[in-house]
Amino acid sequence: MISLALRYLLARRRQTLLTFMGIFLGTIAFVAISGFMLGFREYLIDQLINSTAHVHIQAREDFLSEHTLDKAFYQDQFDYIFWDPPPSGRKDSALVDNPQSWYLRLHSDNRVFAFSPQLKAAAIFSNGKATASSSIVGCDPMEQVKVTTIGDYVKEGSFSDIAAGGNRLAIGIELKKQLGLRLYQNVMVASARSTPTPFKVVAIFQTGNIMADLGAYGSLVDIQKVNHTPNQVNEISVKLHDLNQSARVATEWSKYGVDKVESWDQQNASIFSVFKMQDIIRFLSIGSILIVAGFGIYNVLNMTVLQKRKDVAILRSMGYGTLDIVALFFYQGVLLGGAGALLGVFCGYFVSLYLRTIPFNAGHMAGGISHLIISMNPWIYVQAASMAFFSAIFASILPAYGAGKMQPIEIIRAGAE
Amino acid sequence: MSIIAKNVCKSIGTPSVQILKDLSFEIPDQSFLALTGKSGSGKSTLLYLLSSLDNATSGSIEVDGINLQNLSPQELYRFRNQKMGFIFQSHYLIAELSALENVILPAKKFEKNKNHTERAHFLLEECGLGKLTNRLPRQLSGGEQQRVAIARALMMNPRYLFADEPTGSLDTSNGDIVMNLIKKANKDTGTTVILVTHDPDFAAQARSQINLIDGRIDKGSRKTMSPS
Ligand SMILES: Nc1ncnc2c1ncn2[C@@H]1O[C@H](COP(=O)(O)OP(=O)(O)OP(=O)(O)O)[C@@H](O)[C@H]1O
Ligand SMILES: [Mg+2]
Repeated sequence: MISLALRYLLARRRQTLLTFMGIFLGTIAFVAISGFMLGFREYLIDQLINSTAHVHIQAREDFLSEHTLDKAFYQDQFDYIFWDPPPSGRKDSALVDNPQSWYLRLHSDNRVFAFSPQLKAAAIFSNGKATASSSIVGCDPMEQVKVTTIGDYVKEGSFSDIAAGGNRLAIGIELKKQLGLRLYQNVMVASARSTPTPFKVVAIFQTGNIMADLGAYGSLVDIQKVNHTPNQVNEISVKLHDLNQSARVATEWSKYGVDKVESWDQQNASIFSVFKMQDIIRFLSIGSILIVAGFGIYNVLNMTVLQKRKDVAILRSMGYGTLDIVALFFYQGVLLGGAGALLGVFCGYFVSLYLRTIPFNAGHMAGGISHLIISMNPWIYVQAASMAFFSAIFASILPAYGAGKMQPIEIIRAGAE
Repeated sequence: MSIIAKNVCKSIGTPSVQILKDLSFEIPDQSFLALTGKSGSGKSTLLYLLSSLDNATSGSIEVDGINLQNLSPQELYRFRNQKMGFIFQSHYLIAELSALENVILPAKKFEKNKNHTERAHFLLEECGLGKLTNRLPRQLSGGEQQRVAIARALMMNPRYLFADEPTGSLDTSNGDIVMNLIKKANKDTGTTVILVTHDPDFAAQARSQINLIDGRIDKGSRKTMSPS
């Protein structure tokens, strides 16, 4: 039956080509648009994972509300307490509650690849008359490079040199520009609580993210000193062996203490909900192309079934059964869908390759990418091919079933008149 | 081995009209039977019943001792494929297939992988189409098309050949050729032929005849039904 189905298709070249084109172009559109959307997304996620660790342990920022202090002052003496003015503000300093216990726990957890305690502080940098206010991160550079990719972005000097002690600094390229600094020059760093302290620039990095490039890294001890918070940290960045466990691990750890534990994807939940939205739109829009293509197949097959009534009748009189007839028309849809999906995926791949060469200036945000980013994720191709194929199959079911149900006697009787 | 009809009635349509009225007869093996009668007398209807394309409203038809209505679909498909050949007034050739491929088609149902070319060639040769085997139906004349249809009907060497006015749309000379091929099949391979025809000349060439008048068998015009 499949060879006869093929003969039918080949005999109606123009119609076959048109219906084929529907599936074919739909598949290409799916591959190209998905590649474009997912390419950008993969890039964004890459940036997110690279620039942040998998799990962040941060001090919880608790704000005082009107009744936070009721118990502390009056226990259960009164049903309701009126404050004038009501208490407001933030609880103490934003520091991790008990970093030592976290270190012990992280050391013993075998899911942890590395972790890096950090102290982030606001700082004012000055070089002569040039000043810039930004943030500074104190960390152990050896651990920090395991947890984030900052080490990969160092353009001059060496990131690990900041560990050598004695107020050494790695600064971002933007900060360097603002202050007019060069490698191995000194820069004055002041925190909100300290007088300016001289630091020596030993490394310059460029991540592509303008905010990050305005910042600076020093050794944890040095920054704790500048900030007047010895032994304290306000964030522990953790890298796991398995990225996909981030959310689960974060949820588990958040039960251990008062600190805020979030995975990278939890922190960026809003971005992920946008992605979900994008996916829905992508599937709806391209799905509708394929639905239209499917309708094309449906129409053409229905017409073919009508045109081939006599063939059905004679085949049945020869002893071909209902299923043979269903197969005869179903195969036509399968052949169209299969060819359209396969060739569509194939051409979609080349369209994607071409799109990659289109110059695209993303500015600072995208960190120096110069061309469109098109994802070549095999999943796109699997999805495109199966969506196209199944829409074709779906479209063929009804006409084929209808053909199978036709009674030869009715066709022959009608033909004889 | 014969076709036996007992009290066959057939009603068609809504409101139903009785077209065949209580027909009983036997068609012995290797018969050459002509089904005749006026237009609308029910010849085609009876042929479809005998060939299992349609079911009787009441009564029974046994072919080779089997009531075909009782067969499972698969068994019926096999029975049709191996034992029955059909020729209709129009040729019913598949336009996309060459003459040869059309003839081979019945053999493909149960023996996909065997090579059937030789037999198909032989049959087309028999039908005087040895040189036209690779032509598409539209490249053949009406007479040639009908001869391809005969070759196709004989492909499986059927025990029964059902022909519904096979010469109906042909001129006299082509009608004669077709008629001779059908007679030859009956004589050479002992195929039982049941031929619906309007043409008294062709009916006269048959060895037995059932004449229908308004859905009943006309006793007067009935020839002997035993094989000669
Ligand atoms: N589907 C149908 N519905 C109602 N009546 C039908 C139907 N098919 C056939 N008939 C009627 O059944 C009767 C017998 O039809 P049939 O085709 O068997 O006649 P026939 O003897 O073969 O005639 P012809 O020589 O013209 O082919 C006719 O009166 C016809 O009108
Ligand atoms: Mg008729």
